[in-house]
Amino acid sequence: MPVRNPRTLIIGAALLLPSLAGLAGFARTAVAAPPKAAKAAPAAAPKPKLDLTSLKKTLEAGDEAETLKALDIIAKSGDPAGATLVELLLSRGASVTVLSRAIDTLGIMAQPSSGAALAPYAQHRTPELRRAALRALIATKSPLAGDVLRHALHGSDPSQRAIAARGLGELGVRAAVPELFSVLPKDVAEAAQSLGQLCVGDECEKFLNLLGRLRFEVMESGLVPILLRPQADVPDELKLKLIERLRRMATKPANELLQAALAKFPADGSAAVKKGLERAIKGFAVTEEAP
Amino acid sequence: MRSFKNFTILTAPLATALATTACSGDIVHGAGGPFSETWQADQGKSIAALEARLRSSKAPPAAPVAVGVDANALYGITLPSGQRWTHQGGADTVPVVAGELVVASDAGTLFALDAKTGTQLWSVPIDNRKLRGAADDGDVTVAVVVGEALGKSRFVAVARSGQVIRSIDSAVALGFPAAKSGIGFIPWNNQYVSAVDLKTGDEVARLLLREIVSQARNFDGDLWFGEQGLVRFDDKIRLATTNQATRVGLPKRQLPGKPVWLGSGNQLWPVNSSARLKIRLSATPTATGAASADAHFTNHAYLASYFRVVLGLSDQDGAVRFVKSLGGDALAMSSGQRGFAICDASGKVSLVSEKGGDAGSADLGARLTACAVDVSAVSLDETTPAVSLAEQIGQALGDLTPDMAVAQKLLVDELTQLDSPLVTKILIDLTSSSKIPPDLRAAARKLIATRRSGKEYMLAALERHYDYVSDVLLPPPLGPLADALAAMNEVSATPLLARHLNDPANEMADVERAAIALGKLATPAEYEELRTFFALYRATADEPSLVNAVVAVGGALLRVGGPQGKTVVVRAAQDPLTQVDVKRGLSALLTPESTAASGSEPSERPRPPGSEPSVASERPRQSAPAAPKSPNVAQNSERP
Repeated sequence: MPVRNPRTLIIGAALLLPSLAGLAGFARTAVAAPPKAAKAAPAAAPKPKLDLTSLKKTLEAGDEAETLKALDIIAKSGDPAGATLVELLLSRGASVTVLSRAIDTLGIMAQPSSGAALAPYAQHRTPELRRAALRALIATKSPLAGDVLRHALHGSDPSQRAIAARGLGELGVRAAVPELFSVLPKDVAEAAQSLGQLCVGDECEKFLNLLGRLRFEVMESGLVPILLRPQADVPDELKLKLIERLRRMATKPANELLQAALAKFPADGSAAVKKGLERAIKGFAVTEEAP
Repeated sequence: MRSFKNFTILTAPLATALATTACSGDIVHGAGGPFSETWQADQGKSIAALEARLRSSKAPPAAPVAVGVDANALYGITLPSGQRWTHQGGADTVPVVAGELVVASDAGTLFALDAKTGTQLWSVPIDNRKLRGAADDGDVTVAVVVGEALGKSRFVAVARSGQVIRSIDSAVALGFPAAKSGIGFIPWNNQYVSAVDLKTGDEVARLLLREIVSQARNFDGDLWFGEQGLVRFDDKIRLATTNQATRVGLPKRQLPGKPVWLGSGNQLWPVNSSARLKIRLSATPTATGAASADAHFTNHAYLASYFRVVLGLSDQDGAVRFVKSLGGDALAMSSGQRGFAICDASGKVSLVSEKGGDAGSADLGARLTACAVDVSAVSLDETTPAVSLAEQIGQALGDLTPDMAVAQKLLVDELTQLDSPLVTKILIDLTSSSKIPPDLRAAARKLIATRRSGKEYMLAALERHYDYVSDVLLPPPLGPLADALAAMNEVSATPLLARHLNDPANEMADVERAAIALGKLATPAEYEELRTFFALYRATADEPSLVNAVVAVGGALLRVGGPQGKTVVVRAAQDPLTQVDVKRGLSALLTPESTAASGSEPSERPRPPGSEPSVASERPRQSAPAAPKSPNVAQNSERP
């Protein structure tokens, strides 16, 4: 199925920072001002407690050991203003060691504004850096993350695809459902969990129809999430159908899955589904009418 | 000269008895005993006299028919489209279309079928021998059959009634025979053709050739003798001993598998002889005009098969005129008066017009182990014109399996001799095909770099990226495309090249070449892509090609980035974290003369110290200099 390639958005995002940096070369003067994302952060955000001027100077000096120390200070502080300095560092580039620490730092800081700085690194030729960038992007919940993750799903790195597939579910990127369906049969088992989290209506039916066609181990991570989804997303009828199907499989993994779903079943979940789970675990048909 | 101690002339009607009864004695009269070593050269007098006597008559041309063989039966069909027939029982050697008959042997029996209906006309025992060659003059069929021990040849002449009217056993190998007006023509000793009166058994004439002769063939009623070349049985035949007869031969050229045309008439063609059947040449000689001076091949072309590929080649210089890819290995081919027929292992008979277009097809209805086809006497009309030769080659390359590397290489070589933008597309497609072996893919990449036409195909290819979701699992040949587009000064390629810079699915060597091309072509519109690449790799470049790419992009930033770009490069050159070779390259770029050069007019610049260029796998040993400049880009891509 043809899917929209999100490359354009990613590149656009990647270009945001350079244009800022370009205004004043490497010495961006606006560092002291809290970034926009920081403004959007909860009112209880910690007060700046970093010596930003000193940190900025250290990060620009090019001393690898000192730079790593500065990054640790920023990571520990949790100060969103520090994230801006790290974003600038990424926009300038640095050694792999420094970049790796900087990307992790942004992941820890979890500032949505960091997405633009992280996005280009999801395409870096060094696998460790691009995987770290994807993880950090997921942590930031940046608005750009969805498109970057979708793009990563198209890439040539299996680990990157796995991270992206999982992240798309975590971030609730519904637009990625067609792509997740495309990669699920192609050794991206992580897509199953995300599909279980994201599918609605016919999509869930389509997903469940793959049960039996794809290996159970590939599918199972998506089945519990479906059973735990609210009725508005996944109708009870479909959940009961799935439970009955799992019961009839009569295998240990299928039974364990039913037990796991029952253990996690929300208190306000559908009584019918819960009852169906209980019956199935005992070996009975999900409903009394069922044969 | 070898001796012929045993020959038997048999005239009794009962073949079984005849075949085993040796009636020794010199009962052959005329110019001398057949296959006699004591024959005295007569300067072509006897053969010329025979030719004059037979000139007004014509040997019956072969029926247009294809006959396939599998383990159980013979399958026939008249061409271009006719009724199919089946003859139960197999054949141990490839059947021969002899006039209106199909002659074959199986399990010690020689038999003839009506070519149009498959009806068996006669069958005679041949003592576990197998068919080597056969011909028919309209009344009598002649054949040479041999046993497992080479040299034990038997010549037989069989009337329509099935009566064996002549049988001659020979201790030496007899070649593929012909027949005309009651005379059998039997090549032997690779030197002679004995003309034997089938009724009397007399050798009425003998032809001495100064080249190897193991074949006597009837093409559309005319007889020809020889092997690698053929001499026509016409009014010049008396001059054959002095090489002045009417002669045709195929031009010499390299072809995959070294195919032969008729091959030795002294060999058998078993139905399971695998590659030998599938690597052949086919041509039909013809001569028009009384002077017979213009002997040539029909269609002015001949066919060359290599398993599933058949080439149509000029009979003048061997140039490729058309290419056909088949659904099965080619087992038999024939050149008609106009057009060609090819029988393949799938049972299909493809009819091809003289220009390589379609002329219909026929289906024998079974998978085959061998086939015989003859359209030498007919003309086939084109039903669908051929597409361009470039497209034909492209299609054939796409159809070939990876084990056909030799044919693929030949086709690629032919392709690159064509002046068509389509060639660029085909080469690009080759690099994207998983069926293409690595060596050939490398060759295609090298050739793409030399292309100077087909820009639209190059740009279309650059639009493509590796895409796991859409199963695009090979990125385009970025490096070669970059070389070619840079040499063509194709600025419209720059956004596409810039996008590929930051795609990690591209090979590093390709990225390096794209960076160098952008060093020449980039516009301010690509600034941000260039800057991103520069930032990502200026301090992480861990291989020479990446170092070169970063420095090339640094040059592009200086050229198109204005003060902003210069600041980026200058700061990177000063940053201790910048990779040492990159720093050296950037410093060289920033020397006054380099800065001037990167502005507008390219000029020679000193190479930064220690920046050895990387070598891309399919690129000649030509550097992407650490401080790239426009002229070198052009030079790179012009190299083969």
